[in-house]
Amino acid sequence: MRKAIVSVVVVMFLALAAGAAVEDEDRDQLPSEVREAHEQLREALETLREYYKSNWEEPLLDLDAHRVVVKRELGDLKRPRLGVVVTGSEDPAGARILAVTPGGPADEAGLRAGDVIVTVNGREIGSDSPSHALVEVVRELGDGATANVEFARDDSEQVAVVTVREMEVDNEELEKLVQMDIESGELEGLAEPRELRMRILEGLPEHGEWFVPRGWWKLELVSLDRELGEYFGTESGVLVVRGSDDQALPLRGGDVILSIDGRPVKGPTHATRILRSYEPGEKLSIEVMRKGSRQTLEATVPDRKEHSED
Amino acid sequence: MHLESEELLALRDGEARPEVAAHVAGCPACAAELEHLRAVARELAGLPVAGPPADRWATIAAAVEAERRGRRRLRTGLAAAAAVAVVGVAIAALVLAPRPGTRAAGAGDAAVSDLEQLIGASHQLESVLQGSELEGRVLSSRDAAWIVDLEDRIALVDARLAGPEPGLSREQAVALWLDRVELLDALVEAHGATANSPAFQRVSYQ
Repeated sequence: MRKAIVSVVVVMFLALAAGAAVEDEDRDQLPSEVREAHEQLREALETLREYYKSNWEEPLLDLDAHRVVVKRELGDLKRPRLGVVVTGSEDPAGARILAVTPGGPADEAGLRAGDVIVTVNGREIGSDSPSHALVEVVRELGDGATANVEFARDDSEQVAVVTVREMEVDNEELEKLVQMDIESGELEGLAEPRELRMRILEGLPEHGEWFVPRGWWKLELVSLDRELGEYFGTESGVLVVRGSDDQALPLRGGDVILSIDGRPVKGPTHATRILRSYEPGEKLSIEVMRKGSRQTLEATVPDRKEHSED
Repeated sequence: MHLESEELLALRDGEARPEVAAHVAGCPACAAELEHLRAVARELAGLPVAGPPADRWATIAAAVEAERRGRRRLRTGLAAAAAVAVVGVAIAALVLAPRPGTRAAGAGDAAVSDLEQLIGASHQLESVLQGSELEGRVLSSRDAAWIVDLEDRIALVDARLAGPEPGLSREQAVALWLDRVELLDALVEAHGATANSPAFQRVSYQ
């Protein structure tokens, strides 16, 4: 173990030194250093996990207990949320953010771990049971509502406007996915580290991509920034850099996706979130800006396994 | 009386009435006009297939992207590596720290300290993600699906950590935060991998 620590420290200094002299570094060195850092972290996490497993009296989650938890969570996804994990804060009184869900409503509104939420739409959160207070106030607001979140960061008070929403995940597909994880018998928590690790090392997503039809994998998207937005005559939307291989999805390079079935598209991951929420055979209409004029394109979602390569 | 252009065009394209053909056979002027129309058709057919206008938007995209990302990609990648390595050291130090062998002997205190370290690690990895400017990058929907999947898995962990019922034991909390740190690390790596993907380079360095 000590050897592992030493090598982690060496990697750290290498990375820091490289960071200071970045202009002179060879680009080719980057990926192996990054890979190594990730690998070291995973080894450390795995060792800690093993320690806990061997020192706890009861197994953390047996499969049956896990099924119950998963079922409850899936049912619970249908409540609007801020996307934060909090704990009580005495000074200032409120909810101290321990974690912000990446891509969630609070993340998009700029809230960060360490901030203390003091009020939501004028209602004080307090320090007694801030988690419960937040869940209640957000539930009352309802899906898609905006909330003025007053928070303290460092020594200043600020306000973030957060659009609370239900998770945009497909419950049915997610349930299948989790069931697959359970049946593989290797699941410890809600995430499956070993399988995930294999997927990452190979650079090949296995589960995530399963939600997006194969014919659409090569669709390439980028958010519009100010310069590109001016050129295309729209302030918002997602630019198609390359169309998909699927003729049934008539997006072409140079189109700007404005909305899908009336839902405004905020970025490439958001567009993907929306696209994957459809079932094979469902129809969708996509509003685009093409060559300076608005058009509505119709598409039918193909079978997920269909593809043109093999 | 000569033929109208429409009648001659119809004859050229094989769609004329029989009397039109009969007229052309006996009229040098109309025959010459027909030959001219045929020549135009041949010339048109010989032209290369007209392509779409030059992909000016792609050029603009490339310029903007190159300007915006430029060498920053390298710095971001190394900063991420440094942050991940620091987190690794912190977690590894936990493993090495002397601790009681069983829960009954006071492992609970160690769990509290571990929890704090894991939350700190999660915080650091979130900071790396916030600096990675994902939305300014060209993403294939396959890579985007990978990222979205990881985000969903983190959201599920968060849903349990933030759930309406408190009731998590320290051990369960440690397990969930372990998952969270591992998933965040995977997400940092996914962001880094897509920054170095061929799709990204195609636009930036073409």
